[in-house]
Order: sequence, then C-alpha cells, then structure tokens
Amino acid sequence: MSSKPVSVKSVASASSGRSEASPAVGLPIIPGRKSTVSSATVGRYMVLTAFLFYCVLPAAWIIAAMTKDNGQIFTTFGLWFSYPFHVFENLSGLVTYQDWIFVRWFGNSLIMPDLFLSAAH
Amino acid sequence: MRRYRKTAFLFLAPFLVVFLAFYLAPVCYALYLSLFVRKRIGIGPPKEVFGGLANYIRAVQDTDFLNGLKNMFVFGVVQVPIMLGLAILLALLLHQSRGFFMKVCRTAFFMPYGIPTAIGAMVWGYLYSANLSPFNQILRALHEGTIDFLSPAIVLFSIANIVTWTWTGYNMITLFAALQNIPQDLYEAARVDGAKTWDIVRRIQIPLLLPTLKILFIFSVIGTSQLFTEAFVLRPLGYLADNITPNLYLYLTAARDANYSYAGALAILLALLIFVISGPFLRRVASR
Repeated sequence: MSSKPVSVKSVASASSGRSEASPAVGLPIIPGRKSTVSSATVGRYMVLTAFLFYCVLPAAWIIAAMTKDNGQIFTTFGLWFSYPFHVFENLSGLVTYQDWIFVRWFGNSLIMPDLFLSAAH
Repeated sequence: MRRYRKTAFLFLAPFLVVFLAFYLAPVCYALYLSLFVRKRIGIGPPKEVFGGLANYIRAVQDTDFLNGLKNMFVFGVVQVPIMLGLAILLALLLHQSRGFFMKVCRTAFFMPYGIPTAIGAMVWGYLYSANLSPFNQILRALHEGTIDFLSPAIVLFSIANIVTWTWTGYNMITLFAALQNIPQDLYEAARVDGAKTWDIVRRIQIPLLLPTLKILFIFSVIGTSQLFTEAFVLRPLGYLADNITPNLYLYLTAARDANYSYAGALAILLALLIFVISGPFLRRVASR
C-alpha cells in the first residue's frame, strides 16, 4: 500500500518550508496527528464499504419486501421499495396470522429467558 | 490432596451428569445401533440382527457418502481460506479506522452472526430463487442472461456464500479483539525503527494474530464438517443432491429412510474423521 500523503494541506506545509515530517502511516493512528487522505485510506474505506453492503444485503431485501404484496415482490426490483406500500397490511397480516400465533411465539421467547433467570436466582 | 478430590468431583458433578446423559450416552447408543443390520430371515418383516462391522464396511464403499465427503473437503479448501482471509483483512482495516464509520462497520459485520442460521439461509434462498433474485433482475436488465444459483454445479458455492456471510464477521470480531490486545509499545518501537504499514502488518500483527487464527481455523474446519442447516433449508427450493454434505446424507438416512443403524455408523465415521484431522492440530496449538 502506498504511504504517500496526497492531501493539499501536507503538500502546502511541505512547500512552505516548515519542518514537518511526513506523517508515518503506522498503526494505530496517533491521536492529535493531522490525518491526511492517502490512497491507502481511500482503498480501506472502499473495502469496508463494499463488505458493509454485502452484510446488510439480505436485511435490505427483507425491508424492501416488507412494502410489497405478492405480485409486486415478483415484478418490482427486489432491493428497492415499491409503490403503493403494503407495509401495514403485511404487518397486521403477520400478527393476526393463525389467531395471533406470531405474538404467542414472540411471547414464548420473552418468557423463556425469564424462566431460566428466575430459576437461577 | 485425597480429601479435596471428593470436593472437586462434587463441584464437577452438575457438568458431568449433563455431559454423560446428553453427550456421551447418545454417542454410545449410536455406536451400539451401528453394529446392527436389517435382515430378512425367512418369511416376515425384516429384523435388526447383529452385524458386526457390516455397516462400516458398507459406508467406506458407499460412493454417495464418499462424494459427500469430497464435497466437504472442497468446501473446506475453498471456503475456509476465503473466509479467514477476508476476516484478517477486515480486522486489520477496521483496526486502522476510528469513529462512527468504524462502529457502524463493526456492528454491521457482526450482525449476520446474530441472525439464526435457518433464517439467514431462508433469506439467501429468496435472493437465489429464479423468480425473486435481485441479482438476476440486475442481470436481466443488462441483458446478460440469468444464473440459477441452486443448480447442482453452483449450489455448493451458494451455500459457501451463506456460510461466509454468517461467519466472516464473527471471525473478524475475534481477530479485531486480539489486535487490540497487542501492546502499543510494539507499534511505537517499530515506527521508531522506520517500519512502514506493511512491515507492521507482516512482522507484528500477523504473527501475534496467529494463535487466535489457529483456533478459528479449527472451529471453521469443525463447522465445515457439520454443515447441515443451509443445505437443509435450500433443499425444497431447488434440486440439491442428498449427499451435498455428509451430515445431510446421514440425516436423510436416519429420518427419511429410517435406517438408524447405518446412519449411526456414518455419524461415528464422520466424528472419527474430524477427530483425526483436528486432534493433532489442536494438540499442537494447545502446547504452545
């Protein structure tokens, strides 16, 4: 990775003759040292951002799908919302499904750790 | 010394009882079951009779099982290095970052690990399925044709992608924590000696990450051998071979074919294989 600082600030200070050593690109960043945007930093942000998108991709699809009805889910682009929204009918469909069984499940999950905790005390 | 031994066992008892009842006992039962074969004697329904090592001999000649093992090895050789390599890279990059962006990344990378495996696999199943896949929607828009992510030639890689998605963040967080235990003095000394970023990565960070990395490697190898949920969840969505992973094959042998003794033999063989592979490695790591 290149360690050449390319920020205008550091170039300017170098040309003005001030004896400022070029910031060592060591690890970790020493607090108080002026940070410069090097190509290494740009690369780092790009890799981290790419992986960030990869990690949230399935969650993003789910959130987008939440706004769709059965037809829209096939006909519209999966990773974006589509109009008209069906969020509220989807959510009410979820909680009222089979006599509120989802709420029952959710309640069971809340009760379980509670039981273990009270048994431990 | 003698007096304390009794006390020690008393304290160990809660663990030992549960360990014996729910761990060793089922293994012994599987071992016992695996020694029987189903045979038809005269007229009437087949009976379970003692068959010695017949199931084991059948297992080592069973091409379906052996191909399942081959899939497992391919998976381990391809997926584990990619996942651990990515985890190292991301941990090193995240260690150089500060502030809000670093916190967002740290949380987001770890999030897939918090999602139950079955649910993660289901969502990826949607992303793979021919009619829903946003990847295929993009490819169609570009007139590039579509990819069937669940076709026999690709599905192992599709599963590898789910596993990578789930576990890279977990491995990354573990390495990230190990990086923060490296004393600052080492960095300062290296910088005084004129070390560049790459020197610090290669001569300080990677060597000090090695013990953690070895443990993660063993966990990954063991995880590869236990691959089941992702394949099981994707099964109804497309054509997946019964022996895509050895664990799925032995589950189907037991649950679908009701051949418990053969499934027991397969399970014992698989456990022995993992023990042989990871045992010596684990001992070497522990002795350091």
